[in-house]
Amino acid sequence: MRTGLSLLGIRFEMDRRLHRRWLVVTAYVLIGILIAGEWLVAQRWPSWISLYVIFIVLFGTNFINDYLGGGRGSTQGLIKPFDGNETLRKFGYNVPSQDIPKYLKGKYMNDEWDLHRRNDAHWRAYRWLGLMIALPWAVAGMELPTADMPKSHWFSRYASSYEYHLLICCLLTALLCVYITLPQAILLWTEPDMEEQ
Amino acid sequence: MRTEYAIGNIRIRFESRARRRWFVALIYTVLLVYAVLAAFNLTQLSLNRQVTTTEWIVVGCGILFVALWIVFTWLAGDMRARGDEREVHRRDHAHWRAYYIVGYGVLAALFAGYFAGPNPITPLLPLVPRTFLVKLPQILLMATIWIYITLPQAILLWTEPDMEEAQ
Repeated sequence: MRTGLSLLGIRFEMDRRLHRRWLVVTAYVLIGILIAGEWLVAQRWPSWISLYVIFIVLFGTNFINDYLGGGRGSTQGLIKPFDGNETLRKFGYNVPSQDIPKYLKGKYMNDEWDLHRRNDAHWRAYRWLGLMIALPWAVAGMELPTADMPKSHWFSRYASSYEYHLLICCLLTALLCVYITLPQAILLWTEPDMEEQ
Repeated sequence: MRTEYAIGNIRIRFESRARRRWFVALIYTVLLVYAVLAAFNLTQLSLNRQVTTTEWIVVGCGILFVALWIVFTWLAGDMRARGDEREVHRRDHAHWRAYYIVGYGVLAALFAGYFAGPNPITPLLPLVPRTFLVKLPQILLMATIWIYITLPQAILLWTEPDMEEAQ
């Protein structure tokens, strides 16, 4: 993991765990704002075009993740690419090897400790993922056949409404946003202060 | 990871990797058939709420899948149990591989959700495909949940070498 983050030419020191935790909180607040924006825009202008806001949210989350967290293929954030060793092998280097140039090593190479931490973070994230998939599935499952239900029933009206569809879309978008960022967030949250090491 | 499953006096041995791979292939084939039939049935159920022959086939397929799943989870062992260092490494690595595959299912459900809501394409379709498209996000999420439950174990069973070789 890197200890410094450069954003718009300003360098932020991230060697302390507390700073990294603040970064995680900030990233999730930004993602939360994006999802709330999706909900508000799509509710204010109810049409299928409004649902394209989903893509803006997903791209926004990916952008935040790439520039703050890193991990998934990005070399910008604090965490080196998870598959950095595979990338080095694609470049024709043997990993681990002494021949790898220093700048490539710093950018891509994950040592045994990094790989252990990466796998552990994904194991932890995976357990949360199940709960998160179950929620939109349960909500989508509520749209059961409503043939026996009187049309005046509140749920019968809601289940066929635009808001209900929007709710499922927003839940799925939120799930994908957390899915994209969660392993990196776990790593940033749990890694100890660099001085201690 | 366990190497055999016993039903009474019958012992099914899984030391060989090839045999484990066949078993993984079998369980996913049954799951695929089950998912396709269940999707078909869910669409039918939405159109008329009557128990049809398809429903009985779906139930049979579901029972077969659950039976295979019991053997499958027995072989893979408890994923939460902390074994030795190698086992923990293998388990975590399997989850790292599985994590990114599960995400595609959620993404597919999100795209399918487009057809469930107001859009210019769905109203032009006949009743049956239209109902199917409305139910598609739910079907995809259900399939994703099953993949989520089984995939790390499947990766372990698929990649672990022959037990004789390991010894």
